[in-house]
Amino acid sequence: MPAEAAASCSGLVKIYWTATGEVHALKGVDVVFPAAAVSAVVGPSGSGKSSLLRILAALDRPTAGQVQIGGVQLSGLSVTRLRRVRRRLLGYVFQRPADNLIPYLTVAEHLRLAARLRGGRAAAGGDGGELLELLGLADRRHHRPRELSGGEQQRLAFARAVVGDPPLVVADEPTAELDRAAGAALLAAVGALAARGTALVLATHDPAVVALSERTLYLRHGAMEAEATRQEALSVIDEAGRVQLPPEALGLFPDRRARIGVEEGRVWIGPP
Amino acid sequence: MSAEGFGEPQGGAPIGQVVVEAAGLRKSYRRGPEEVLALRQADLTLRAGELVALVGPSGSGKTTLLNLLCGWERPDGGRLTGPAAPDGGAPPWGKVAVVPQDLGLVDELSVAENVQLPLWLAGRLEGGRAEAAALLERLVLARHGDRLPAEVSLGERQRVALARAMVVGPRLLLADEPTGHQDADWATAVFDAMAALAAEGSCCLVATHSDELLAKVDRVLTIGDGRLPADAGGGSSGGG
Repeated sequence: MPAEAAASCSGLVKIYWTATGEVHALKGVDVVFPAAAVSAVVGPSGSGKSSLLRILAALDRPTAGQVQIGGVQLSGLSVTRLRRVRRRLLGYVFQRPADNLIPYLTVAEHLRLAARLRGGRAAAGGDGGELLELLGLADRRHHRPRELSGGEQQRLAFARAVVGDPPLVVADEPTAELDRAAGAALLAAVGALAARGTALVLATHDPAVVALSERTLYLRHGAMEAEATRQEALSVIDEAGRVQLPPEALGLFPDRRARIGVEEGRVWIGPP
Repeated sequence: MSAEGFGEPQGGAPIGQVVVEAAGLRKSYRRGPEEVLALRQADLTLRAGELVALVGPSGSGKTTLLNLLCGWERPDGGRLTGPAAPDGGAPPWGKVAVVPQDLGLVDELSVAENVQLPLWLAGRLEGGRAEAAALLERLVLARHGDRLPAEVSLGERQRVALARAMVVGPRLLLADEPTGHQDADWATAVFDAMAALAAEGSCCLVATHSDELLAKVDRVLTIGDGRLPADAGGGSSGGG
């Protein structure tokens, strides 16, 4: 894992057993999340987004493969140690603003509690005033969640998640329940939070989130199809040498068989 | 330590002192195009040292009244004086502690830590540990202290929420159906615990459906169709 990586996954496989058989939600995903960057994870429903997110957030374990967060290898950890990793190294933001907050705590109390849970230096830290300033919540310190708008609630959820500067914060469609203006305000805040050093990974359908992200990861059928930066989009070749063809190219191969050739540093692929 | 949120524990007031006085409280909500009058007219007086039951059918306005009394919502009309008088801002937990129907426990904190949370936020954890431990013993089964809320039963979670509300010795405790998930023995224990808190000078108002527990309370307030009959306060206005 490169020194600057906040988190990395290799060979992630997730299989669910249901009444109708096995569901292979992740089929060998390799990905590295650099520190201090916003990454978007996109893909149609059923692509494995949620499975990847839950595993990254240590809320679920992979069937096979490895996950490292902030240099800590998660596989083999006991339930208690995994809980400690979640407290110290991870933040998680749910889609529904209310699910992230505690109704009877004020904004300032949410941050004090988060700092306490984080432990270490964070527990002895200040009152989160700087963070509230950054997120435009400074004049809401003494309010409780029901006195906040949905957008303010979700900004508070992010504030809570980044208290103590954990290496990784994972958010599941954080703008899905916000109107456009509130979503834009949240995204501006998310960018500012990443600049403090935390890697933010956002599962999303929202083009505004993709536009904000330094990197976008495209998942399809449980595999990483492509990885795009603001400059270019690249297909992903996994450890077994597999590449996913875009759906429009798949039409050329009704029998799912192809000829592949290598010429002058290029690979070509055509129907037989 | 701070005047916000949980704030300083207040403890009970001298027995008999008026804690809440409300007259003509009104509250309506918008539900789509229509306006729903959840509370038409509520008059009540609550005093320190009382354990009072609030009974009435579903939709009669019980939860709305509790939300007004704890300062989570503001009345549209009427007069309300008490620890959560509508002067802006939520009252500190030491003044008004609640056991909401949805409990509101912190998932990431253990059972024991949830109970200690109000003490910690009030900067009083060291002095209050023994009290928190005694409440755990009494209500929650101390052996579950290290578990997460998700790892204990719903009934146990409900008792955790009650212990969390009681631990600061609030001036006013508001509990919304706190025995909804308790078997008969535990329901009795829950009411006994609230009676003991009232004996120390707190005022406890409990919304309940449980008729057999009404014998345990000092007074019963009956709410129906958004109306709570005027109550002289102090005297008996019903009974088990």
